[in-house]
Amino acid sequence: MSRVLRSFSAELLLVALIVLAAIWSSQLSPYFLDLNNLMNSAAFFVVFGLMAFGLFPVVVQGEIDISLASTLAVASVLFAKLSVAGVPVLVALPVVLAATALLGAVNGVLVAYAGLPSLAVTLGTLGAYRGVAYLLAGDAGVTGLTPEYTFLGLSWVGVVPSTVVLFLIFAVVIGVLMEATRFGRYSYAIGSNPDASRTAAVPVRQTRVIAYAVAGAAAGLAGFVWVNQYQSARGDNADGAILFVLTAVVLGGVSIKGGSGRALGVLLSTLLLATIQTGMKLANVPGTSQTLVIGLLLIASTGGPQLVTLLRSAFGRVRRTSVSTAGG
Amino acid sequence: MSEPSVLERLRLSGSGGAALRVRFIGVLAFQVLLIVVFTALNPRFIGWDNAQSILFTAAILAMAAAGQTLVVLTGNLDLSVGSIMGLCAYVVFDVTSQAPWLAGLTVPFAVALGAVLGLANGLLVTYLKIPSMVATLGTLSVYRGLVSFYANAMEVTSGELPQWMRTLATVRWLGLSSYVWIAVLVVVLVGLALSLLPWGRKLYALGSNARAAYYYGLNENGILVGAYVAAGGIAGFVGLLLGAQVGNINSLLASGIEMQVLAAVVIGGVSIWGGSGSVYGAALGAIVLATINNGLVLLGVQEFYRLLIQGLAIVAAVAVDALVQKRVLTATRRRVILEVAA
Amino acid sequence: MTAEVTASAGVPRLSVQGISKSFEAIHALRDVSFDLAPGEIHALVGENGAGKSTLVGVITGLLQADHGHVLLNGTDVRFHNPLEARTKGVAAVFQDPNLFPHLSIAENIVTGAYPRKGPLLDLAAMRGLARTKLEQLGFDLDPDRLVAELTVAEAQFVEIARAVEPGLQLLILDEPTSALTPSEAGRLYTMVEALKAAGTTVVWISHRMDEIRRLADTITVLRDGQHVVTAPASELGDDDMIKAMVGRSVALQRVPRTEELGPVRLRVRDLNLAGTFADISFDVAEGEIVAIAGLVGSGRSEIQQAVFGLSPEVTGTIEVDGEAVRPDSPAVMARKGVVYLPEDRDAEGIISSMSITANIALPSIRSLSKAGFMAPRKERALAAGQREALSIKGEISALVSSLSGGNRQKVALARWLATNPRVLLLDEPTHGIDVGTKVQVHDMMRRLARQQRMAILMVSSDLPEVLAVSDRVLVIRRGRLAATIDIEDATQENIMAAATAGRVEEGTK
Repeated sequence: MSRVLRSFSAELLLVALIVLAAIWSSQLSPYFLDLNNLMNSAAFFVVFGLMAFGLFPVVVQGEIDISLASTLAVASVLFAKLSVAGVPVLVALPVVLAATALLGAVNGVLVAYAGLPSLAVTLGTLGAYRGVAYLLAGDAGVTGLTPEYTFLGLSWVGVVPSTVVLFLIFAVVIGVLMEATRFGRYSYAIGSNPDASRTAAVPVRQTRVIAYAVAGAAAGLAGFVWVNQYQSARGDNADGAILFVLTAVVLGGVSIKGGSGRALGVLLSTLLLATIQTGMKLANVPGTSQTLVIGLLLIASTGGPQLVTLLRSAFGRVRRTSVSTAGG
Repeated sequence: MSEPSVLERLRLSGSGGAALRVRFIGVLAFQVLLIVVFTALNPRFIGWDNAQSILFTAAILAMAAAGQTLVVLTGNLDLSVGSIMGLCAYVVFDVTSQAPWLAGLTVPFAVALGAVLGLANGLLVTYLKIPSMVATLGTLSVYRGLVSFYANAMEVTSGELPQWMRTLATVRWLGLSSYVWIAVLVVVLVGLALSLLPWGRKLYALGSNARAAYYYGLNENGILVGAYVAAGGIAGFVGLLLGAQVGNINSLLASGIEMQVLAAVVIGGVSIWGGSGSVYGAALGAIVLATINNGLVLLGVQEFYRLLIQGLAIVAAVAVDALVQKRVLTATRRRVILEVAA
Repeated sequence: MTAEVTASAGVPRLSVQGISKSFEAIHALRDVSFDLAPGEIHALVGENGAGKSTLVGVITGLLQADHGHVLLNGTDVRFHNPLEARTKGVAAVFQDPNLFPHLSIAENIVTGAYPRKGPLLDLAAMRGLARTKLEQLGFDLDPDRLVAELTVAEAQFVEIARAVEPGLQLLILDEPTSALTPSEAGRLYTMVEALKAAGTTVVWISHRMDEIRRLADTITVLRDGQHVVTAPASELGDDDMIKAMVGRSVALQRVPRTEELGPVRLRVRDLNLAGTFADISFDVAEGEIVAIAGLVGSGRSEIQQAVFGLSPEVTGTIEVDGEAVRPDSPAVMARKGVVYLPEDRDAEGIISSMSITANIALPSIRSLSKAGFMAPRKERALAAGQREALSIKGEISALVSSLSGGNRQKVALARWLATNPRVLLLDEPTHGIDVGTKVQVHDMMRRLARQQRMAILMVSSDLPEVLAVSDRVLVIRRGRLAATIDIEDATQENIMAAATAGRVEEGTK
């Protein structure tokens, strides 16, 4: 039992932080704990959460994709355009998701087959895909979407917004993908040790491309939620969202060096970030100041372990010195 | 047993040297190509007035890229450059607007503030071992958050800026904006520091082969922190100039500029793996970007193409660097063993 | 030569006293003591893994000894890094290049000790210094060229030029001629003799008898991390030297084979990899264990890797059970039943942050999973079966990082055995493993070949192991097949002789 608890210590810490953040938020405003408010707030973070779960397998493989928000913009504009053109949503959905998966796969091919550093590649496509989104959307963006494209944003399953349900389903799908499938096992193996994976006959390059394609499709799904929630699409949709997304993944215990991390952690860290941001909003903290907290969390979650090691070794050295002094 | 033939020798030797030397010329050729194409499409492109305008646009970017070059040469990144620029500009101008007797000290103030922020970046990357991209992505938002906290949704208006800085932003020397000359000065100073100071050479050495740097007794952490401090100081200074040019400064000044700065550096031939490239290349990369911008505007093409072309240029530049790097690295691999056939 | 070295009579230049160094359970050096005289060329010889590199590491401050002292000119010194050693006049040129490929030759030579003019770099002095050094050593190189465009030999000259400084007390060269042509090596001999004349002590690590004979004043032999003998070169004949190198203490028993060999399973013809190995042809039959012997860096591991598909640019033909296959990737070869166990198992063989089960199942996942979903129960059954068969210690849910070296090796092997392979490629299968486990691994190899009819191709530096396990020995020297020795005729001496065979160097003077 204690072993199980220990292996979930990161998740337990996140739960504790969520509780603390929730208490703090409810102190700030009595409305925080209002079910309606909670659910509406949750719906706001669905697009970020979807991208975080798309990014998750890529980071587990030891790579990164900072172009996801631009892919989202392409998707939202495509959905809006297709809606205005009268294409049924059930046709548009697979088409757009396939298109964004392809955008992701382009990143993957450049990384896995051409051997380029993933940060530089996705920095390039971050600009390129954003450019594509602007070009498609034009200056004014696209409005006047048909109801079937916006239905999801206004509908509820019981007391839960449909988009939140969609997010939870997607989270479970990715969780199962990483825990129970060949792809997941390969991903952890590649992230832990790419050379050993290659000599174990793991198809390293194909697996990388698939991860990027999944990330692209996740951004596409996030784009679908976006048009449902905002009933319009523009080229600058979700610009800068990658900070939140990457923070959610890393804070969730997914090592940026690859090979570790669980879907549950990503879910909890998304929840934590959402709680903190909602709290700050209630406290009327301006948006850019909110990024301060998220940035600090990102640094703390990546640098924290090393800081502990440094402090411990400094403390250890003091102790050793005193012992040797006593001995001498 | 005979001596290897010329061909054999060529095959055994690393061909990376030639590739490294050609890289800068490649950017130059691309710039010439851009000028030819834009002129062909719109004859108004060529001319002194337009050149002035391109250089003015490139000036700020080139200076920021000079700072970024220091970090990229070591094989790391500084994504927080835009936030440092914004924070330094806002804080310094806000303080001097309330304490006008400090107006003469804006530059040292901004440089010092930027250097402190750069120091924080450097410490995170070296001592806390956070990958530079993640660390500076974090400080990007922390610094931006700090300035927004500090500004509290207020602005520093152009009337509150020190008079001499407002003049500086508009004055022309020898037919070119003062900023162009300042940029030339900054780029040349950084270039000289990189080629003539032992510190500059150590940046290259560290980026070229970190393991060898250890054998040679170079202090990796010290060198890296130094690069971030210098990059931060330069960013603080550039932020000041950008602020004076913009006039009314809010907490969002220079946000998002890091992408263009990185693009200039990478396109200009500073290898993302570290160890090669020059600040002059980075400056040329800034001019390339400014030329693309300017040319597209003249052609009446939507500005959005800029993002697309810029993105593709980054990928293309990195792809070229990957080929160069592969050849260069043959020199650090375990030695060849094959006995040359008799 | 500018080296001016003071030497007081009778005091050794360097005295190694009772040095021991262990890595986990492996004793790399045990109580090694010997002296180096001032101004001599001292050959340090021993098989791969005898402890030469560890000793060099300890002397130059790259490694810290567990016990013992190093005395330089009679003074106790303990260097903490190579730079500290350099400032005291002790320099080494290692086998792996340590250069800055993007920078010029001149800069590589002065990095860390730049000539200055005030706060600035004195570029002219830097170039002058580099040119002088290169000229003095007899290397004709333009100091402005980038290291990235040098040949292997030229890069090595740069490293030597960097190491040689006025007042140099001790220069250690680790297999300096392994990548050189005869005339390049000749230049190096001349240079080393000049250094000696100037009073510098040179430690020359080499496997080549001819050059040891030509250069060395004194020879020290290490074996299994222990000092065997230090003697004047004139008193130690070639045969004695080889005997001293190979006379390992561990006795491994050969188990005669009663089973007949089957048809050829692995047929390799004219395998070539530019700059690494050439014209490699051999067969391995069903039920046979073939050993590849040779020095580290002779290309033997690279041959195995190429057969496993890790060097897609290789040319030549490979047939498995009569079926031709292009070695494009490990996945391709694994599907044909050709599997590979790398030497550096922690870096390439296992994934230490994953469980034993996950490691063992990794190459078999394709057959274990259904529609992409894994079957945990089948995986565990597979892992439990292999754990039983190979007597791996530890629960199958434990992380591989918690296992000892021997058990990690078993896990690395188990994951392949679970796929029922036909050809087993093993690179140093018992490297760094205790004797007890070693014998177990040998028994297992025999069983796999003789009972399960696999074809095994093993690379090993451990000659007793080669003699105890294999049916045939291929000796590789500098990328070429130097000899094929049937096990009945094989001795440690004739294998070593084939691997190191000295030719009289031409064009050296």
